[in-house]
Amino acid sequence: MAAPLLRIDPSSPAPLMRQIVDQLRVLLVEGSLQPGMVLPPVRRLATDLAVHFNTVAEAYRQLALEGWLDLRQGRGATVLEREAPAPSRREISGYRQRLRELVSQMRAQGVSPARIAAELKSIVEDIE
Amino acid sequence: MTARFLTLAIPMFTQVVVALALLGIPHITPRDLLFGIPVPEGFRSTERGRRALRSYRLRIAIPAAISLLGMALFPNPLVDVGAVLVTTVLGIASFVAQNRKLKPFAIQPSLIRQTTLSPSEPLPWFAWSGILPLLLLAGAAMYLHSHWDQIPARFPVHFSFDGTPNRWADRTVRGVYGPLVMGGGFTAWLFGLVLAGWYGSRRADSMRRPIVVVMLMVELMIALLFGALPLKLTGVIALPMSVMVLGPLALLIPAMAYAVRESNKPHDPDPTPNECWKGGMIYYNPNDAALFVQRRDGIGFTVNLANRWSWAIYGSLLLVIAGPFLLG
Repeated sequence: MAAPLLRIDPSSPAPLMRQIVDQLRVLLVEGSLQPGMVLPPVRRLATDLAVHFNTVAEAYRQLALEGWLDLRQGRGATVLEREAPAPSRREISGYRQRLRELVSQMRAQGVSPARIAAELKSIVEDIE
Repeated sequence: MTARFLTLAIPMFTQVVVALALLGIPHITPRDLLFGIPVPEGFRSTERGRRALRSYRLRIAIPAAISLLGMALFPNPLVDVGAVLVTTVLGIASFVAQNRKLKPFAIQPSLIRQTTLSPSEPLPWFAWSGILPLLLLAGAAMYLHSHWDQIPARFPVHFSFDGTPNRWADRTVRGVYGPLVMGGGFTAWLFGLVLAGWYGSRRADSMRRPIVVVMLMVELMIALLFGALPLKLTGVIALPMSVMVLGPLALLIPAMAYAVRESNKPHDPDPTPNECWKGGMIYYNPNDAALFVQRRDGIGFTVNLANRWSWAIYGSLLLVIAGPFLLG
């Protein structure tokens, strides 16, 4: 199986660290990154992405805090088996708010409600 | 007569080689770059592009020709060194001047970066051949050791242009093994550079492999030169000086041809921001973890001066060069 790709765009309004975290999380949730897989060391990934070491180190730390990665000195980042925690009401409310904002943005761009629902359904099914 | 001719010809030949190397820079640089500036396709054929190339050529060719005339009229080592230095400095200044003039025409290559999430790959098998030059030098030392009695008590180490020895060394550990130690220093430094080049550059960089090959060839060339030198000088082996110098140099030609060919193939531009390049030659980007990036003034790599390891590279080179003098 080909190794998954990571792509960042410095011209995007999202900070580079956030782009790395978000993309890695998608790959983890989708299962493209399986438990036991070793990610490139911080220096390697930072060099390849032309970013500062701290940007990648911070992204790995964030994912380790979420329980996705095991970071050990000298052994790089290893993907962990992770049980999804039950989200709190407050977290659900936060996601709902973010979805509402995204859906509103799509509606403002002229995307129909049916299309939005279909896209959401497709994404959820892909990740499942 | 021959000595007089060589005294004149060698510095003049050096001057011509330096001038040609400077004139060749824009032509070995990938077509999407001109004087360190990323330019639109076909820019070189526009009036502005042609004018920049013409101006650069004249600013090098005229002083180089005047210097050659000076060298011919006033044969003096100081004039020779000065002429080569002036040509080099003027060449660099001319490059920087054109770089500044072309800045308004610069396009920013895409800064989108993409990489695979595979773990670090091991060194390619051929990189390990970088140990061979060190073994060659060790072999030369062992050969000299086993033929110690054949080495004259005093042997020539420097010659004038007519072939008359003008400096001598004694059969001591320093006198016999000195060139090998010096060559070993350079060779080890170059092998370190090969490793740094592999691990300190981007995996997606199409020039990564060719540059490592060129560095390995340079390493082998240095080892052959420094390895053969004491064997020849001590009289342990008989080898024409021309073979000793030109043979190792010939190794570089196929490696360079391979690098030039790879450089001319279509490739993704290195995601380096234009504003991090000074004069099209110096790269300084504290937000880029890479130690080596694709250079914009020719083919190959240059160091990211914002990476602290770049200073280790220059510092260690200084140590390798100055070491023999410091040790006396």
